[in-house]
Amino acid sequence: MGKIIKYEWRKQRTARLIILFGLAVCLLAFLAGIILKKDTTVALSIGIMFAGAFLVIFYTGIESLLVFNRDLRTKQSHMLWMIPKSVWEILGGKFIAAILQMFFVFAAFTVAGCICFTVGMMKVGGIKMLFDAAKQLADAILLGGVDWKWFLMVMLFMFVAWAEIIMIGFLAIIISRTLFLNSKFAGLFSVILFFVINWIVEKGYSLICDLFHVSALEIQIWDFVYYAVVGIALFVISGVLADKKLSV
Amino acid sequence: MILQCIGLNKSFGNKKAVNDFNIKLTEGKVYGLLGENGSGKTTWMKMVAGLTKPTSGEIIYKEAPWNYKDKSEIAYMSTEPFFYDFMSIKDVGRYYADFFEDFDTEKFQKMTDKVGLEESMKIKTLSTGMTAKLKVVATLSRNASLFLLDEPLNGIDFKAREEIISIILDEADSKNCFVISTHLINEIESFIDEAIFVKNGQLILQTETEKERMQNGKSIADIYMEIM
Amino acid sequence: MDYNTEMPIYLQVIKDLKKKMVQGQLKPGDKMPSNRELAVLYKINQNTAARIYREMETAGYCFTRRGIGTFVVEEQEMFGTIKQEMAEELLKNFMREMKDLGYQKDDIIFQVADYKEEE
Repeated sequence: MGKIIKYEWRKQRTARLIILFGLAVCLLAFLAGIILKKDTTVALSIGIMFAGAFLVIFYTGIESLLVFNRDLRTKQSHMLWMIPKSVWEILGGKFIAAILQMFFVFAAFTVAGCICFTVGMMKVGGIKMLFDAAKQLADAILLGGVDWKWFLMVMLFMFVAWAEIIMIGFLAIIISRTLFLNSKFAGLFSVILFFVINWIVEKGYSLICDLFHVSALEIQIWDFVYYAVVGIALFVISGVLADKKLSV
Repeated sequence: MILQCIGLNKSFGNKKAVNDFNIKLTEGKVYGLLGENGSGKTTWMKMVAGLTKPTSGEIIYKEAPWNYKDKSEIAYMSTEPFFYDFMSIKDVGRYYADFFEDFDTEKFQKMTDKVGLEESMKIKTLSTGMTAKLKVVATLSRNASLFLLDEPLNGIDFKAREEIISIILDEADSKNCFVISTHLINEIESFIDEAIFVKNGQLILQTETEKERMQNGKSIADIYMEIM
Repeated sequence: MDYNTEMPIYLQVIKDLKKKMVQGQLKPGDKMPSNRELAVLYKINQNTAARIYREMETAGYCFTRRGIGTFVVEEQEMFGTIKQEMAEELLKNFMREMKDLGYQKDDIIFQVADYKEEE
């Protein structure tokens, strides 16, 4: 499994390098703006970083699906399917690599954000203020000012939701490539299918909410259970389909 | 017997790509798989290699029903240039070494050297002939029991073709089994033990090359013209 | 090497090897190519190569030293015999073909004596 992840990870290296490069450029622009006292540069670089973060994390999730689809189209999928591993290991490896890539990008942006924050604080109020801020933050954490449970819930929920989206993508691609083989429509169809399955999953979610009279707005344990179960079900369906029907 | 297929079928929609396919293959033999494009040769090979699943029927590998673990002893080379395009030739060797226990890195290095490929070359920049050679070299650097080569001689010039044939002849011995699909019958006629003729997804004749010469004075090319 | 369809390939290779012995390309006691080498050389597979050496050994043209390889026989007389045999076979075929064309033995001898070799 580790080796499969290694090569899947490698497939998204170009995107990783471009993202890191773009982030580095923004960060340098920010630092330069601070040092040279150019407020527009500072504001612009922070703005781009923020807006970019959402776009890039979204793209990173989608890219693993694009790679999967491309491999099947170009028959580079033979590389993965000719090895003596079960379909579960292959799909599992792909999935873990996709999640790792997202964590990596997320972490990169978090680090960049921390750097900006630290430098900004130092610039405004000097070292002392930075320490004060750090102390306040530490106090808040230790004294329970920050709702850790809530924070963890949000993070975990984001993870589960993303994982489920990737699963939907895998399934859409597998169904599409099974039905259309190498037809030009396979790519387009998988995109349509992706939204259709997504819609079904969301519909199922609101149905269940209605059934148990819970509000769909709050993040609750229900959400985890639902998305986790759906995610696992999607993975199992994908695996069985890939094993029995898919021609790579 | 290394491989047996019993009543093997594969349909894509309404189209039967492989239709009631029955075959037996033995260790120590080289088979030529002959037929027009679209006759089902590739689909059959892919089923044995595990890249596609039969609609019905059985594949028996070494006396047991086919299982994905058998891929560790079955070396399949597809027609398409299938290596990841971000790799160098050295990376291809590493990849095979990572996933196939029977892969011999030293043999791979020797063979690439022999056919004029350099480790540092990028997959993206390889010519058709070079890619064809690399595919054969990588596949045959495995000490597999069953080799399935799909059109190894297709679309490449004379010299590369001769080099590829030499590599195959060097590796095919009494312990392994080779199945080579091609429509360049004259190129393989002299070294195949048996010819398997496939038409419309069905195996229509499996015969020994030398027997045909001795008994009927016919070459495989002659038979091909007669029955296809 | 080009193979014809009248004869099994392994026999055609044996014939070629015998010719090489007669011509002196393979001398008494010489090491013959390994199975692999023979396979690549004649575009045959290694099973056929092994069969060729088996047949040649039975006929007494060569012998195998276990783990070392196959060697051309050392007895000089064998080479004469091979040459004789091959000549006889060629002659037999030639005579048969000529007779098919309606020539009698005397005519043929006359024709042969009169034959001018091309430059």
